[in-house]
Amino acid sequence: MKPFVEFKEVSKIYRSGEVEITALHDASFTVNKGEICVIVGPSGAGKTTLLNILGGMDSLTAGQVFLDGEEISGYSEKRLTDYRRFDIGFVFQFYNLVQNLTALENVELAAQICRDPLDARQMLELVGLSERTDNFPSQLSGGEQQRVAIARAIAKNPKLLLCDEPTGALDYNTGKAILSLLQEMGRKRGMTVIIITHNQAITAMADRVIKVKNGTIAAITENPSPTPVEQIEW
Amino acid sequence: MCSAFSKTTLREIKNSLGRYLAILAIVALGVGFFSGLKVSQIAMVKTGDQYTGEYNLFDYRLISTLGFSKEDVQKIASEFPEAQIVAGGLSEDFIYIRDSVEYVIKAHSVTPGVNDLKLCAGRLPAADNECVGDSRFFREEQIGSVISVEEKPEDSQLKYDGYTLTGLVNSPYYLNFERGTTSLKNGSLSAFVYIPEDGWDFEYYTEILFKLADTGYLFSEEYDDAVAPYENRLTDRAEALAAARYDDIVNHSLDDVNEKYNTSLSEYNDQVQKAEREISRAHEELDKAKAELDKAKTELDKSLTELVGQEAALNGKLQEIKEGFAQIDDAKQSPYYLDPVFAAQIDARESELKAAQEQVQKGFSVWQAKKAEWETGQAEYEAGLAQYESEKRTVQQKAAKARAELEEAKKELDDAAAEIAEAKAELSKINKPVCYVLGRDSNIGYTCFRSDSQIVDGIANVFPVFFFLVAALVCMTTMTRMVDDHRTQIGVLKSLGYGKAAIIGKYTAYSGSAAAVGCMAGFLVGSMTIPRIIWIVYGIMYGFAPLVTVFDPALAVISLAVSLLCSVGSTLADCFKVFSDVPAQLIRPAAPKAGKRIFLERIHFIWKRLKFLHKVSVRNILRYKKRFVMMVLGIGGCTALLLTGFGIRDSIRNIAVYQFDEIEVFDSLVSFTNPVDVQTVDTFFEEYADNISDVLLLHESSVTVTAEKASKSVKLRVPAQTNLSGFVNLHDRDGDIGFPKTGCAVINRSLAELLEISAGDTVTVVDGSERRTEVTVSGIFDNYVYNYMYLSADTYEQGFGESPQYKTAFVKCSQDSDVHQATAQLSEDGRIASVSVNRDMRDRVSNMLSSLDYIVLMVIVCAGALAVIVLYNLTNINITERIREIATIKVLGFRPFETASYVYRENLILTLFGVLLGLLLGNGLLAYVMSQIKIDMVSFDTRISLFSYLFSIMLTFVFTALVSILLYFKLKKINMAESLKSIE
Repeated sequence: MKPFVEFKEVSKIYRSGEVEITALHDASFTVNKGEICVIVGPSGAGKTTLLNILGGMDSLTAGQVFLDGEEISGYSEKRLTDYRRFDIGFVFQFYNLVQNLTALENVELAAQICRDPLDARQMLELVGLSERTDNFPSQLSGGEQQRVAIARAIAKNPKLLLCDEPTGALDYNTGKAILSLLQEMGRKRGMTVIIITHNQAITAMADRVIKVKNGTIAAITENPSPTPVEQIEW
Repeated sequence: MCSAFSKTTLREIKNSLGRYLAILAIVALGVGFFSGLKVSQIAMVKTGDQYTGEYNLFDYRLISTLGFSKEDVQKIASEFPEAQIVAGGLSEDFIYIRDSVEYVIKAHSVTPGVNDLKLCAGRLPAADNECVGDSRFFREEQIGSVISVEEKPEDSQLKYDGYTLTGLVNSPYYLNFERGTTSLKNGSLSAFVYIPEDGWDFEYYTEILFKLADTGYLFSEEYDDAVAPYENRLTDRAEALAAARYDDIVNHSLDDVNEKYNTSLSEYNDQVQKAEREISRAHEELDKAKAELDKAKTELDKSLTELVGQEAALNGKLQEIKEGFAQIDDAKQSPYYLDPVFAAQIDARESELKAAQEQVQKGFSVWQAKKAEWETGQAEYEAGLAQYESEKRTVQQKAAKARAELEEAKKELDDAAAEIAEAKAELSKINKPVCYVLGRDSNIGYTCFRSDSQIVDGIANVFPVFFFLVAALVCMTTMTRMVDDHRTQIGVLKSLGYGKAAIIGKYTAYSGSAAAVGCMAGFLVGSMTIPRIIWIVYGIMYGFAPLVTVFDPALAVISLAVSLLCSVGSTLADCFKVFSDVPAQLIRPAAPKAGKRIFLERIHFIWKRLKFLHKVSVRNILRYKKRFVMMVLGIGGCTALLLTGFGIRDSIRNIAVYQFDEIEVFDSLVSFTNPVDVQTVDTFFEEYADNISDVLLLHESSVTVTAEKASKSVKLRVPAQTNLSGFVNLHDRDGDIGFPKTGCAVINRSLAELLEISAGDTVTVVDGSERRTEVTVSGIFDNYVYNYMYLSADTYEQGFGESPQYKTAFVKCSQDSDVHQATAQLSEDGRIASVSVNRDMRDRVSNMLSSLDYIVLMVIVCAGALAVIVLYNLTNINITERIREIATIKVLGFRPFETASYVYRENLILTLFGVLLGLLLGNGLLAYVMSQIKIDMVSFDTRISLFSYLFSIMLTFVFTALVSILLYFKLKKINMAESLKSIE
């Protein structure tokens, strides 16, 4: 089976003046369709760079990146925007909801620019917020806000769901609930989910774990029998 | 304060230099505009004051149609010892040809001490055949060439046919580019030259220039007060001098002819006397001769009688003797003779007889002698008589001759008398002198300069306030933003134990120093540059001297105070708002401003129809109320400024056109030297029938109109006929108002406004001789230049007790004739005192007002600057505040254009609101500015054309677009990675 996501010897070097910082060096990995992949590593290991590149938010210095057979590393800025628009769903650490929009409207904001969006109200129902559709972010708890964010990401019906420390700003139980939601989404909808975290414990829920260290891929572990989130303790 | 703390302040400035400079710049800009524009009028007037002071602009010009003698000048000088200078001046227009183009040039005599010349190039004239010329007309390379006088008339006062140009000058008499009008050629003057008095061949001065010492600041009330008392005194004197001069001229000429007549008369009388004397003497002599002759005749006759008597006596005696002898003979024959006695007796008798005979014979011889004598006498007498007769004839002949001669002399005398009559008739044709005492207000340059500087001031009163306001607002938002950004830091400082004062100190030092430095810079740069720019713009019209730089300390203090109030004040307010939170709250990030439903959402039928992203924009607009207000104010200000700018142009520029194309549609105004009646004027103008198609005779005079609340000097017009069509259109917005009936008057709108009256009110009219009458205002008409009241002749007669004196006429030229030609022809007529052409007036006023275009341009630039600054600043803050949101939507896959419209849609809507507000505001602002611009005798009709509305709106959107384009790049540069960052 052809890998859904493929990184081939990807390098990213930031230049600021005379100084060169290698954020990513010869990173190569693959993720299959429908997998839940956790990319784990300490701060500064290059996780975010990886995510930026995969999310079409940043360019790479060397190597190739493929998603669903398309080489995105060669995309122009315009095509990258389309790529983000149609192929990627993004979940942020700090939810990044538009404060001035209600939960429903936040979902609609993403949905209305897509080709084939899912129904926003259904999405909110899916994440368990059917009662809070008309609330503004400030009226929601962190967990609820993150659910809205997930609903917003899913509503775009993306090929790939990218989550940047989705539990980073949440307490333990809420974090677990969110992870559980993500796992459920992946399983139920067959969506490829990539979660970036520094929390080793989360790796247990993944089909595939990619460990990043000092800008290189330290290890890739496939997990044939992922643990349901509810059973994970940290 | 500890050094670490002041270090953070300095470092803060260094780190956020952009923001610091932004505050500094906006304050500088605001203060710069404010002080610059405010100081412009002051600087203009000061420049004018120094210039007119240094070059001694006249205070009064005395003009008499008969001129003034040198003695007159001296008389005035001695009667007004307080005058700095009283000088006689000469002027004459002549034709000059350059590059085969004809120009009319006015030559003035150089009058040292008044209307002095400012040398721009070359040197002042030294010889009497040299001159200096208008620096606006003559070129520097013309210096040294001869300015020749073409078509010089016989009676020209110019001594030479050409004058060598020795230099180029500016004259305070010509403050702006206007050179005035002339009766030559096309009627307008192109330039002036100044020729020394010696270069003139003159008997009388054309004018007397009168200058007082220390009259006060230019255009000030002090000046008016200092100068005003002289007007009447000078008028009296000038009139007296002119009257004396008139008498002098008339009497002198009369004396001449009278003397001639008298000489002839006395010669004639002498001749008559002499002739009479001679004749009478001749007659006397004749008479004497006659008397002698008569006497001789009488004597002769007497002696003849005597002779005859004597002859008879002698003859008698002889007879007696003869008889005696016969007796004797008888006796001797007689016997008795013998008697001796007898004989003796007889003998005795005989001898006696013989003796007697002898005696008789002797008597005869005596008689004979006597007779001979008589005969001689008689002959002599006859000769005398003949002589007398001949002499008598001679005398008669002589007398006849003398009489003939006298007749001739008499004829000559009659001729002389006829000559006198003719001369007298001729003299009566010499016009009674007309005198004018003209103040500076009569000088076009002076009045234009005054009104233009007032326009600048009117604009300066309004526009800079806007800039200040906006600067304050921008300053405020920037500082609010900064303090909000720093809430964590403030929290840390507070938790470290720093007092409020220290923390406030830091921020007030930051904003205060920015404002102070900005204010200083703005004040200095503004005071120096903006008046210059305006001066350069006006230089096209004026530019007589480099602008004086004025720094107004009061203005500086106000500017500084307001800038500090805005910056420090808003900083303090923000700080105190932050202080109300406890440190623990402060060190945590501020919760983002919560979203809220807006009122509009409740109105479902509208809200439903809005597109999703539009809803977002609408909600965003209302979310940031402060920004909303500022944005709408800023944009509104921009539109208002633009509308005002264009409106000023619309309202002022076309006044002359409205006045002379819509209201006073006659071609020229003719003033007669003496009052005329309708018949006279009809026959008079028949002479000019080729050029003139219609004439309307009227009485024009100055009256004072008094209403309950105010009184005003007004031009009164009493037309000889009530149908004014074709000459003057008395109309208001609704149409023709018709000619006033008896007992009624119509006045113009601005006069009605000044007097605070409306149609139906009664006003009192007082004429120059203090006669007064009351009339009812029956209508109010539109009029822009001068204030007028129209009365019918009946009303005038009833009111003032005498029929109006017609000395003025509106003239309509025939279609195919040239107005100027017709005018030139008329102005040469001795019966006409002056002719003014409406078209010239219109062109002059239009020209004067065309400089407004530059002001409008300046307003557009200002409005643009305002819009750009406000929009840029606010949008920038908006973007910075929402950088995370924008990064997020970029991550969500919004295309650049979508991202931009997501942000800009708000701006667009706010711009719309702003424009709407601006249109309202602009109308008010225009009305205010127009009320600020007060020019004597000119009233403005505040109107805004559709074009101006459209253009103002369009330009505002152009400015918005400009800012959007500028910020588009900033939006594009926003890194999506911002979305991943934690909230600071």
